[in-house]
Amino acid sequence: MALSEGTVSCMLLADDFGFISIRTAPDRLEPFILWYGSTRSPGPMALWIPELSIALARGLNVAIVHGDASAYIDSIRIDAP
Amino acid sequence: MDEYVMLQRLTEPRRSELATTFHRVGEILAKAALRKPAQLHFSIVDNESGEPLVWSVAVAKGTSKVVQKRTERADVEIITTRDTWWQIADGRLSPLDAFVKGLLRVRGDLNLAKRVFLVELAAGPCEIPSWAR
Repeated sequence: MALSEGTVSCMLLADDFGFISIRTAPDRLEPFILWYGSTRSPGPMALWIPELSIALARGLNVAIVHGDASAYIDSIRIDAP
Repeated sequence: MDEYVMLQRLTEPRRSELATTFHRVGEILAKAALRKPAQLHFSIVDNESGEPLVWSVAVAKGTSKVVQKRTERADVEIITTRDTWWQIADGRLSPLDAFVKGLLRVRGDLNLAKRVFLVELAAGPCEIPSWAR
């Protein structure tokens, strides 16, 4: 597993996909997948989306756990300001 | 599920070395009209050992240089496994499909990444899906 930290730069949400971009350095973005198609349980998404929205709005630091070579988010941590 | 554009073949029929594919990337990009010099990193995770090997492709002014080590700065980094990269380089798997299947990560300058992998290295013209624009 790998851990990526930064601030939420962008959220892109639709019926069949949900992506976020994390800014890990001033000139460095990485896109991550919340869901794509119907491959994931909607439960965690319902929790993650409001938390990530708050992090985006407030510029909070987030830490994302994902596979070494996978952009799918396994878990998120959001730090207090 | 949408079908996304494949890359032109970066492999050679009788050579299975990964290095060949990165030299081919460099050759193609050296002829492309990139706006500024670009440094690409390919972190290729061995499927068995889990250890990454890094190839760096530097492109500037019609030339390219490929080295098997991590250089100081990368404009774009691709992180994937050996098997996945081989399928992409062989024109059998689209980079976008690999991304949405959880087989590939990309980080850095995402506009440059889109230009490189969806235009310059693509096997042909493609329609970029709305989520990747």
